[in-house]
This record gives sequence, structure tokens and C-alpha cells, in this order.
Amino acid sequence: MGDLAQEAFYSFRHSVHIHAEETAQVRDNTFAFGTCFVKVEVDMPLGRVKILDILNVHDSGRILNPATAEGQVHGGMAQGIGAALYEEQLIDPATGRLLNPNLLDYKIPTAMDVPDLRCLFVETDDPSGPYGNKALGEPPLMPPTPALRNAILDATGCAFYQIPMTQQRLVAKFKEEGLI
Amino acid sequence: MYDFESIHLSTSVDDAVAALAADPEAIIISAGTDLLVQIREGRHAGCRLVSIHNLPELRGIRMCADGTIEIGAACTFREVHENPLVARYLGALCMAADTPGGPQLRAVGTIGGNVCNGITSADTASSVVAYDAVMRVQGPAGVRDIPVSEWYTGPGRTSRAHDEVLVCIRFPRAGYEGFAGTYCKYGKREALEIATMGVGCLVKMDTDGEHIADIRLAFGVAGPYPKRATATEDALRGLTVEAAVERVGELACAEMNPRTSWRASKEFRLQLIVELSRRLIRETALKGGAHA
Repeated sequence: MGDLAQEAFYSFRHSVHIHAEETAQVRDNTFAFGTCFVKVEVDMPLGRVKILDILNVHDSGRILNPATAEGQVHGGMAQGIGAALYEEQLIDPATGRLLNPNLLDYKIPTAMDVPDLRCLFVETDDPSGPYGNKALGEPPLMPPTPALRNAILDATGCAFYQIPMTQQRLVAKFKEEGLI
Repeated sequence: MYDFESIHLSTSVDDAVAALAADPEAIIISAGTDLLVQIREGRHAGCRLVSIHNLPELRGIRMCADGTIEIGAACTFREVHENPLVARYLGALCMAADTPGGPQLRAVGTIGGNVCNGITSADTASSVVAYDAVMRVQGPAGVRDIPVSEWYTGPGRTSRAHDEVLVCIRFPRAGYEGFAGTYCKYGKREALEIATMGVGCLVKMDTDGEHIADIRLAFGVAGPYPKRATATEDALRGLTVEAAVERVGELACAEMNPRTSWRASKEFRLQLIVELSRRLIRETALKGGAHA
């Protein structure tokens, strides 16, 4: 079907977008499950966190399109890394104005900051979904940020209760704890 | 989108100088990677531009007979980084030229623009300062050489007159000979970034492989403009590498003057000065033949 759809769509003389429509109303919500494992190296005197390995595993029932499903997980993982270590709206306390309303000073991680993202699915067949499928939209973003926080705790003994866990915050905490 | 009134496409440096002299408010544009961003933000609205883009007199990297290395002001970061003379003799600058922005920026942004904007965080600036370079400018009265120690006059300000064009940056042999060099750009992310701290370190090792014969330490973002920590250098000269690593933190912090801004606190910047100086001295000394 995939080959047929591609052939039809890109046909030079008679391009056709093969499509179908169906509606399923889900009245019983269930739980989609997921987890993130992460290995980090913390350069403590400089407050730098290097992600050595990161893996999300999701149970979202039957995976209908593996390529887009994996892409969705990668997106959530990258965003989770951004939330954990980089992204922050900085407000001027005197005026209430945003100090970094631009993409230079609001730090979205670049390709050089995000490691290879690994993702696995544990497929189950859930009766709540029309094809045995469950949610995968939001779940990928949920575990990476706390996983990174826990990895930093495991590596350094320092517990953070605020994100992003920026270099400056790490260095301040390490100094306070007498670690650097 | 870009609110400028006119652009004069100079046909030569003399032509550019004449255009600048004739219009006291005209602004030089080369690649424009700084200026166009400012114009787009609404600054310099309605300005008149004098373009020095593509002037052959401003290009090229060459070694003169006396060993001075000349880098044309219009050389791109990529050209500087990939040049064999720079790689061999100006190691810190070679590393530094690979750090601004991203590959697209480095293909068009110029080293001239990077030092003429007078900004403390400019990536090539601290290396240029460390190597004791000389800025050659051309104005209505002719050519004059400005030592880099006299180049920066304040945040975003240089001693280049309005009607002068930076032609090239000259690196005299005494400034680079015998030195190994390293540059470190510390930022919050690995690309598309402006430095939170920049450090250029040059070390010339004694033949015994233990003692530092000469050292230069230049910082960007540790003050209003890129500067050498000359008092620190004086105190470290002659010490063993380990002794220098031990002392540099305290010395450099006393001499440099970073401030707290919303981007980074003074305490954090001081920690970076300490740690980066130590690491760079070790790394550069090893490059320079120190015993491991």
C-alpha cells in the first residue's frame, strides 16, 4: 500500500492522493505508559551536563506508523532535554518584561546539543483504541526531563527542584555543597 | 524589512574612504551579519550604507618577508580557520574562527567585522588580543597601524575613525613565534551561540619542558572589551605548569572584571575564568611541549 500510495501521489500525469476516512469515538480513556533512561556525565566545575545515552520506551498500544511514531518520540525527547537544561523565559523583575524574546537568548538546543535519541516501543493491543492504539502525542515529553534531573542527582548527589538546570544553577549548587 | 536609505557599492578602499568622509553618518557594511540583524531590529533606521563587500584589497592571508602574517579584514571565519598559515602559527585564532554561530555564518561573516564591532564577546577578538596583533586601517590621510592594545576604547567602541576602513590584521612574528595557542568558547549551547566566556591562551615552554617561558591570557566577556590579563601573565612567567595552574585562578579573578547581567552572574563568570584558565594553561602547555 505504501508503494502504491507513493506511486499514485507522485504520478506525473495522474497524481492521486489515496485516502480513506473513518471515525472512532473513544469513551473509555486508558493509560499510555512510558519511561526514559538517561546516562549523563557532569563536568562539575563548569556546570556542564553531557548526555551520553538517552532512551525512551513507550507502551502506546499498537504502533500504526513506526516512522512517524519514532519521530514523535524524538521530538518529545529533544523538547524534554530543552526543558531540563536550556529553555527559560527570563523576566526583568523591575518591569515584568521578557528579557530574552528571541531565539538567540531563549535557548532551544541545537543539533550540536542533542545526542542520538533512542526509542523503543513495547506493543500491546489495547481494546480502548480502534486499532489497539493508545496515546503517543504527549507521552514522549513526560519522562526525559525528570530522568535528567534524577541522573544529575545520581551523578552529583545534588537534588534540583527547578528547571532548567542551567550551568549557572549547577555551579551555584555545587559551590554551596562544597563540591567544587 | 530592512530600513536603510541607500547603499554605496565601493569600488576600492579609497572609494569607500571617500564615501565615508563625505557622509559622517554612513555605516560600513561588509558581510553584514551583525549590521543587518541590527537594522532588522529597527536600529539605524533610514541609514546610508557604504559597502566594502568583495573588495580584493581586503582579502587574502599571507606571510610577509619579515614573518608578519597578514589577514585581510574581509576574510571569512571559515577562510581564517582553514588557512594553513593560521593553523600552523596562530593556533588560538584557528580554533576561535571555528566557533562563531554556525557553518552558514562562518562562510560569510568576516574577521574584520568581528573586531570592528568592538564587542567583548567576539570570538576571534581575544585571540587577536593575545597575539599582540596590529590593526591596519586606511583613511583620508593614508594608512596607519593601531596596536590591538590601543584598539578597544570601550564596549562596542574602537579607535577606528569614522572615515577609516580596517584593511587587514597584522600578526608580527614576535607576537606568535614559539607559542602554542588554544581558544575556548564557553556558551550555554554548542552552536548558534554568543560566548558566556571566551579565553585565548598562548604558552611558550622552556626547553626543560617544565617551566613556562612565556604566557599570554586574554579574556572575552570578562570586561567591557577583550583584554589580556597582563599582571597575571607577569606572575605566571617562569613558573612550572602545575604552579601556574594553581595560581592563575586567584590572579585572573583579581584582574578581570566581569559583571552580573541577566545572562550570567558575576560569581558564575568568575568560576569560568578560574576553571577555564586552569584547563587552558594545561592544554596549551602540553601542545607547547610540556612533559605530561
